[in-house]
Formats: sequence, structure tokens, C-alpha cells
Amino acid sequence: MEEAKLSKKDVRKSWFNWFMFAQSNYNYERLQAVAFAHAMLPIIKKLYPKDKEKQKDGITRHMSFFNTEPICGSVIHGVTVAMEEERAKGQPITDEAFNGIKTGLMGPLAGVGDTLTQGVITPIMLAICIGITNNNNIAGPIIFLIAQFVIMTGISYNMWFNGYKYGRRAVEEIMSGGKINRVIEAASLLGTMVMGGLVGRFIPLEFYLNFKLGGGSIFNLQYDLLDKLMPGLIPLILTLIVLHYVRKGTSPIRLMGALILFGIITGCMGIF
Amino acid sequence: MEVTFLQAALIGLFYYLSWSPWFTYVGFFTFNRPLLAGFITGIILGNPLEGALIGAGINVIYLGFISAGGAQMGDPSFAGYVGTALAIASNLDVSTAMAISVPLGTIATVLWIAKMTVNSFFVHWADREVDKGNVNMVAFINVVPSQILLFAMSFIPATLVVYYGPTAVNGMLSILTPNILHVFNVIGAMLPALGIAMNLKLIGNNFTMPFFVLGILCSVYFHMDIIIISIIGIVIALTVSAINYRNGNKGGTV
Repeated sequence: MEEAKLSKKDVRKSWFNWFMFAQSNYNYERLQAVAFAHAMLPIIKKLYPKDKEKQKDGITRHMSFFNTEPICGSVIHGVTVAMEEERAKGQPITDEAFNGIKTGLMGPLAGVGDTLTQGVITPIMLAICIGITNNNNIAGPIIFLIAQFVIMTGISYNMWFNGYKYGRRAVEEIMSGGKINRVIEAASLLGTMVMGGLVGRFIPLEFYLNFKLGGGSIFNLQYDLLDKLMPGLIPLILTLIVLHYVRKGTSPIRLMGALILFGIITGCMGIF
Repeated sequence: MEVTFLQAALIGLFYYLSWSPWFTYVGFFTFNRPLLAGFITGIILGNPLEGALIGAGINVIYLGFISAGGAQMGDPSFAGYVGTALAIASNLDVSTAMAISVPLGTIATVLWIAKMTVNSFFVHWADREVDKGNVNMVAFINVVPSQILLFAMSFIPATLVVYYGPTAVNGMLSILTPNILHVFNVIGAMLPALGIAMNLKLIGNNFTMPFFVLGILCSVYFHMDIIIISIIGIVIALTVSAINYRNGNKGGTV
């Protein structure tokens, strides 16, 4: 077998181009296409140092429609870099094969990636650091900043190099190995519980309604009934109602409008 | 307090940076979030803690913020930087700040849509250059024109709103009675339900939802800090996961 033509530095350079500029030219037509080509630039130039025509073909084949979650999706780029290297060594890998791999993997990895980075890691880190901030502690945003950089950079870099090292096998490992499901499952449980903690802090809705009883005593719906049954019942019910509509597919903007309107009405009537 | 033009421009600059690639892609997961945006705005305006507290409140509304394929619910970063600046300048409390930030963030979505539309033209430019054999132009086009566009479209509106906004907000506040401010507080207390529900859509299911109730009780009844609730959550999550995957079981509760 021939010697590998790419050094670790080349692969790292390619990763860095993507890690910086993945969304720089994000657009409706081909989404991350130019960023993908940008990431492949150091690879193609290294593999075909003198052949201008092959450089041109190489970049053109990576200018096609591409869209995935930039952090976890890095594994696709790793696989692509490995394939480019094989092709330069003389393996018969067609342009269609590149396209097939890229478009076949980008969807599933966008799904897993968005769930992991935007749905689980970021909200949990945010919830914890919002909690810290709310105790008048300035460390909240600082811890958030450092933790996010460490976690996200670590995932992205490892995904890229695993894809490069193990090729398609790395992707299969991630998608079917059950490991990622186990992580998402455990993190979902933690996340859901922390969301509950936030509800208590940030939705301080209480009934203001009082009823006059005989003998001059006053019955307060909140203190005399709800707090004895289950404190936090109103925020719980409100969140569940909103969740119901989110699941039904009502647009968030419309729900925002509805909540503002509901707030105006109940606020004016003195219910809350 | 008075916001100087330099302060307004600095806040506008950070708003641009939060959407730019200059903090790497992790900028989207950090500087783009109202918690950090509020903190930075607070530093610029000389009150970091106040800024962080307002940012934290605004961030709860955008907790479930997911940007997938370019579709999204408002601009959390605009709400974070500009909303916090207006709140500090006009002495608003956190709930009122939350209520005024949401419309700001929703309007700012227009900037995002315009950016993604104009960026499409640069792709064709890149096509042409590669066709001529100028492969290095791909790097240039990916970064320079799109960033000049983004800078113009983010820095200018944010700076102007931060500089001229407080006058408008103060004018509005002077005609508001305590009753209307109470309504703002109610709205501010309702909006976080959306952020939390959006996140629960993704991670909440029949298996995890009981723990949502547990989280509420820990916070409202036992008055626990989020940190303590998270630690309890980690303990439960690890235990449940270990039980689920015992004997090579593939799990499947989610």
C-alpha cells in the first residue's frame, strides 16, 4: 500500500476551516455548499499539488448542496477526506460516490446532531448556568462560555478524526451502536428534570383571586388551596398546554402572540 | 442612564460577532445566547450582574431555540443584546425586559432571512471562479463578501436601536400606570413556558415527563437551587440508564 499523502496537519487545517466558517455563507440555495468546498480546499490542493484541472474538479464536486449539523456532522467531512485520499492513490471512487455518501449521511447526522447539541447539551448547560446567575453570581455566564467551548470543540474534533480514521464504520458506530441513544436518553431525563426546576423559577404565576367567606375571613385560592395541593400547579398546567400546541405544530411565533394576549387579559382581570 | 454612541456601537459590534464565524462555530452556542449577550452588554454599560440577570431571564424564553435548515423562531441574540441594553438604560425589571425583548427578537428574524437570500448570489460567484480554475477564491467568497454583508445588516440596526431606543422606551414608560406594568410582569412570567415547552418537545416523553413534575416540586416546594436539581437529575439518569442497559439490553424507553 502507498503511503498516506495527507499529514495530520492537513486534516487539522481542513477541520479548522469548517469549524470556523461552516455557517459563514449559509444560504437558501445550497446552504453549506461553499463552506464544504472551503473545508476541502487544503486537502485537494495537497493531493493534487500541480494539477490545476484536478484541483478544479475536486472543488467543483464539493460545491453541491450540503446541509448538516456542523458539530456532529463533522464525521461526514472526515469520511470524505479519507475518500479523497483513497481516490488520489488511484482507487476508482466516482463523483457520484462522494455525492451519495454526503447526501446519505447529512440528514441522519443533522437529526442526531441537532438533538444532541441544540436540544440537549446547550439547554442543560444554559439551565444550570441561568440557575447560578440567578443567585446573583456572575460566574454563570463565564462557566457557560468555557464549558460550551470545551464540549463542542471536543465533539467536533473527535467526530472529524474518527471519520477520517475509520471511514463509514465510524458513522455506523455512531448511528447504530446504541451508545448515542444511551447518552441522549440519560441526558433527556436530566434535561427534563432541570426544565422543571426552571419552571419553578421563571414562571412565578399565582392566582390573586380572593373569596370573602362568612365571618370576615378571606379564602385565597392560591395560599389556601393550591399551595396545599401542589405548589407550582399553574406553571405546570400552562407549560403542558403550550407543549400540546407545540407538538401539534402550531408555529412558535403564533404561540408567542397567544401567550402575550393571554397575559394581557388575565393580567387586566387580576386573575394572576 | 444615558447610553453613549460608543457603547451602542460596541453592543452592535458584539451582536455582529455573535452571528459571525470569528468565535468559531461555537460562537453560535455561546455569544449568540441571551445569557452571555446580557452579561457582555452589562459589562459595556458598566453593570455586569444586572446584565447577566436580565440576559438569563430573556434566555429562558429561547431555551428551546433550535435553528434547523435555516428556519427559526426569532433571533435570540438580538433579543439578548438589544433587549438587555434597553432594559438597563431604562431601569426595567427582568419580567418587563423579557416582555419587550421578544418582539425585538421576532422582528430581527427579517435580517436572517435577507442574509440567507443574498448569500445565495455569492454561491454562483464561487461557481464561476472555480470554473475559471481559481479554486482559492472559494475561501475568499465563503468569508469576505458574506461577512461584509452580515456586518452591515447586523451592526447598523443593533447600534441604532440601542442608541435611540431608550428615549422611545422611556416615553412609553412615562405613560404606563402600575397596572400596566403588572400586565408586563404577567406576560414576562408566561413567555418562558414557550421556551421550556419547545425544548420538552424534543426531550420530553412518557418516560421523562414525570421527572419534569419532580423538577417543579424540587424548585417550588423544596426551594432547591438548579445546581442541586441537576445533581439529583444526574444521579437518577445514571441509575436509570444502568438499569435499562443491564444484560446487553438495547434500552428503548425513548
